[in-house]
Amino acid sequence: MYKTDDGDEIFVVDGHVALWDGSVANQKNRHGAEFIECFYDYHRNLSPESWIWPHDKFLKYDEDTFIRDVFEMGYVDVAIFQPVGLVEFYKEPFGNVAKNYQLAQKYPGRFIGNGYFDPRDGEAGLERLEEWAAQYHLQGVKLYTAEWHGDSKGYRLSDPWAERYLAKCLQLGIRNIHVHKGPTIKPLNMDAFDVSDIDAAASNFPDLNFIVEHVGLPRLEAFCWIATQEPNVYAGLAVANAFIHTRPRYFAQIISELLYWLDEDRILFGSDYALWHPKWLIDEFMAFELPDDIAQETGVTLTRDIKKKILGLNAARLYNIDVPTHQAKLQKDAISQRLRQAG
Amino acid sequence: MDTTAHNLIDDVWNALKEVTDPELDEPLTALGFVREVRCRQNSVQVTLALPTYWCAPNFAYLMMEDLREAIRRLPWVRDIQITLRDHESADALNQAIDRDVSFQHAFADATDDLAPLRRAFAEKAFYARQKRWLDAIQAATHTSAKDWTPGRVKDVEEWALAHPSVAPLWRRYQASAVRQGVDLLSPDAPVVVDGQGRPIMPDVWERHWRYLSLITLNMDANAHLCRGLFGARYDPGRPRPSIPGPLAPKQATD
Repeated sequence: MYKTDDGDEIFVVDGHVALWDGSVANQKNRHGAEFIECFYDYHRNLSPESWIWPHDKFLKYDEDTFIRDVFEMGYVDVAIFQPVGLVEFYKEPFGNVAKNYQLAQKYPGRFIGNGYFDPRDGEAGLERLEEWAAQYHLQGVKLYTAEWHGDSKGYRLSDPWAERYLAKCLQLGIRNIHVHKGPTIKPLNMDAFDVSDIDAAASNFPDLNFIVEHVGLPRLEAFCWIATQEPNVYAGLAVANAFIHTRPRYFAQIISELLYWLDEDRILFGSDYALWHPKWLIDEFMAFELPDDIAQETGVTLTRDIKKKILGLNAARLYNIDVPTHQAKLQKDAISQRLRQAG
Repeated sequence: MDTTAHNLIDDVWNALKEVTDPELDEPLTALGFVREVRCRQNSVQVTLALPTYWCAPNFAYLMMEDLREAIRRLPWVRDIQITLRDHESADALNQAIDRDVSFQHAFADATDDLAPLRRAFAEKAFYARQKRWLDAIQAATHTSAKDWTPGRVKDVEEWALAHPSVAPLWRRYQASAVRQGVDLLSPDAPVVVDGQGRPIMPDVWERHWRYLSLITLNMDANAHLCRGLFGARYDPGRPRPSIPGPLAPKQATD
């Protein structure tokens, strides 16, 4: 919960968090080392100086650190795990659905634990998705289309097997498909960041929600175009958020373009923790005002009501969270008690 | 021709200024991605590094191919070696460029050549340069592009060349038009056109302007990210990473 100076209470859903294990002990090969090193470069590149973690802590951090950072310092009421397995690079999955679920059990109401699938796992993967859906009560999945799988170095949502998995999601009641267009390697002859497959998937599955993480960056223009066509396409702000510190003007332009091309109901906050800490992101976002010239050019505004939607209400709608009831429930939990004690 | 190694190296750096990152439309030399040039008699060695280990290999191939071709245009050069370092596909790419093997032959799961990708990037660069030129006119004239009626080359060229803040951007826009096969040289050619050279009509002008804004914003944000990642990756003060290098000592049990 974020409290404004004038006493307004803002419900915060962090749409993108992780409890990863990138430790040397868990790395399977050089790729595993390079993956977490690349994350660390993102972290160092866009974080304010005082928020930069030591290298070793960044590779693997414990549950208590997570709870304190995200919920106690970071204003977050509910956090959504968006795990990626990366099993070709790590011995235990980098983002671990079972481990996430265990932590969620300790803090009822604080987490939504999403799963993931890889369409290249074929029939076996479909069965696992069914098991996970039942075991972990999945409402969403995180898809990383750049994931390596044997000789294959990526997939597209328009692949026939991907469509079968999406149909399975629909059947299992997994409504929220978070798509991360990483630096995919395949199809090799094409633009690796191309987002056009999301267009096809969103048209074919109008009852699923497609949350495009990182607002499709670095293909923002293509993403905006698709989102104007498809009402079930959403913008996940992870990464784009972080520009607010080093390049506030880019952030202003990005958020105003999103408000212009999509609308205020389809933009979701996400810190991408532990890449970036929600506290500074939210502090800077709440203090942020669109520069006049940018507001004038796009004709949009970024009011407190719009910020409330972005910070929590939009995600709450997608995940069927009734905000007043949920807030009342969280008020009694251990985290809220500790926060009250700390004043 | 002066053949001292020093001048040869300058000669190569000069030639490389023309080679751009296809996504960012900025010279690789200005981005710092070209790490080193070495010359020995007629042989040239260039070392390239990128912002991440994961940068798309097809984009890397385009850059390496362009570097090779730029050096080939130097009359004194016989042998060229382009070495990409610290990249997941470094070996495959270095070999392909060295042996002049096309991308789809070097990578088994590539289904086509890179011509469409090259065209897509060229078109984005064309739009970005159009926007940057229009921005410069706005700034120089204190007017808003929304109030303009796009004209023809003969209406703007003389004025553009007379304004130092506008002239270089006009030249850059024109250069990308040539590459794009769009006429921006004839006096009667329309100046604000789409990637196929069709004039932007007043009824779609607003939409076109918003699209141009997105293209340049995306490019700027991406360039900021790439420069920052590159800076973080090759920062001399970076904490020692846990990456086993190619020369890491092997364990006795191996």
